[in-house]
Amino acid sequence: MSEQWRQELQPTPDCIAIENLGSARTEAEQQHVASCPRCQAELALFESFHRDESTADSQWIAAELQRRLAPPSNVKPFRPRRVFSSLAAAAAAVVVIGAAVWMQNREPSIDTKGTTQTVYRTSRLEAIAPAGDVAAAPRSLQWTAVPEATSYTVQLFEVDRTVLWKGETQAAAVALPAEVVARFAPGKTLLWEVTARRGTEVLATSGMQRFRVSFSGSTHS
Amino acid sequence: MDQTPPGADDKLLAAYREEAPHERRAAADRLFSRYYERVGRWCQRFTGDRESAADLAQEVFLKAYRHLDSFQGDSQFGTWLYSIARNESINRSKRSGPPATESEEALIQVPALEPDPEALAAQSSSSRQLHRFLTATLDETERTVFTLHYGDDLPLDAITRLLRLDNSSGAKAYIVSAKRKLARAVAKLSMRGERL
Repeated sequence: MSEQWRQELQPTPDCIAIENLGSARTEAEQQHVASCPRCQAELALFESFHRDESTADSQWIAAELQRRLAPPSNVKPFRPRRVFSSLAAAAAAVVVIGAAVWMQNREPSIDTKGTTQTVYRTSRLEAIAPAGDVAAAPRSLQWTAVPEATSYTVQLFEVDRTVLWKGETQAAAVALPAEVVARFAPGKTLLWEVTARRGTEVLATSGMQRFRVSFSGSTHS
Repeated sequence: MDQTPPGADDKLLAAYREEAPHERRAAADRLFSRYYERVGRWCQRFTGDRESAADLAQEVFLKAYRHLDSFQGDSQFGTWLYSIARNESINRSKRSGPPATESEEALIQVPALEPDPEALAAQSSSSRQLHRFLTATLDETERTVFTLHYGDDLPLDAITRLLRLDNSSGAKAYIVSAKRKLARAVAKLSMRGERL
């Protein structure tokens, strides 16, 4: 489609401003609308906005918006207690080692028939923090370590999957650049995902994790 | 939730402006929540699924919240909110790339406009002429579908849902018929030695 068509279909100075579509029109404006496809198209969109057809989906979206946009009542910064976190880390290590031993004995690898690469069926990778509503803009991302992973690729997305930032690390956490942290506007939902690799081989992917900084959160954690 | 008489919006807006700064968020929520379902439904028609619609609607309300202090009441609050939803949706559609319909063999080519420097220089005048041509050549639905698809890059499936087109192939059928009519009309002009 030619760019010229696109330009020609943009509003002219006579066209009614979007903000004024709901207002009464003068005779001159009515005459303009009658011969202006742009205004007619805008009016058709505007009318579609005002049609009342409550559906199960629209009620679900409204409830979802209520949940997401409501001011958080009592969100506190996540500060794990040292003893608890040590115990949790030890327990996690036991679970990971146990799972690794179990997998090694029971199902070491899939027969890849002809390929020399070993493909592990399960290497659980969990995106730990940030997740859900957080009180302050996070300065780092953390996840569970995957045995045999030599590196992790981390991506941070807008909700429409536009990549905000991408990084690589060998640890199970990564610090975010200050300019990225500065973009965590209160109430704005963001997504992130981490992929564990051994060389070029993908061992596991966390799946998308969501978080948002609450409206009360103005500091950085 | 969907009953939104303008007077009620005005009262809630006045209440919002009278609140102390730390209470304003709750006052804005009372105003916005009246439109959650309406905006969400429109966003769902735009995106095609409720999860993406909730994400899009969330962005709309966050933007509205950020700009609420600049709303002067020159238009109805619902129309102002609509303008944010409309712009946010179309911008997002543009970010995700142009609609993929050009490769479909069923669609005949839209007649190219001759690149005329004089016409480009006086673009608003040219646009009026083209608008009149479209109005004389196409029916109302064809014009609307054509304008949204080629003027705003809206995908045909989104146009089908937004305009509630219930024919079997939706907006695509209107694009095909619009292109045929335009091709015929341009050919007639050419035979008479005229141009758009």
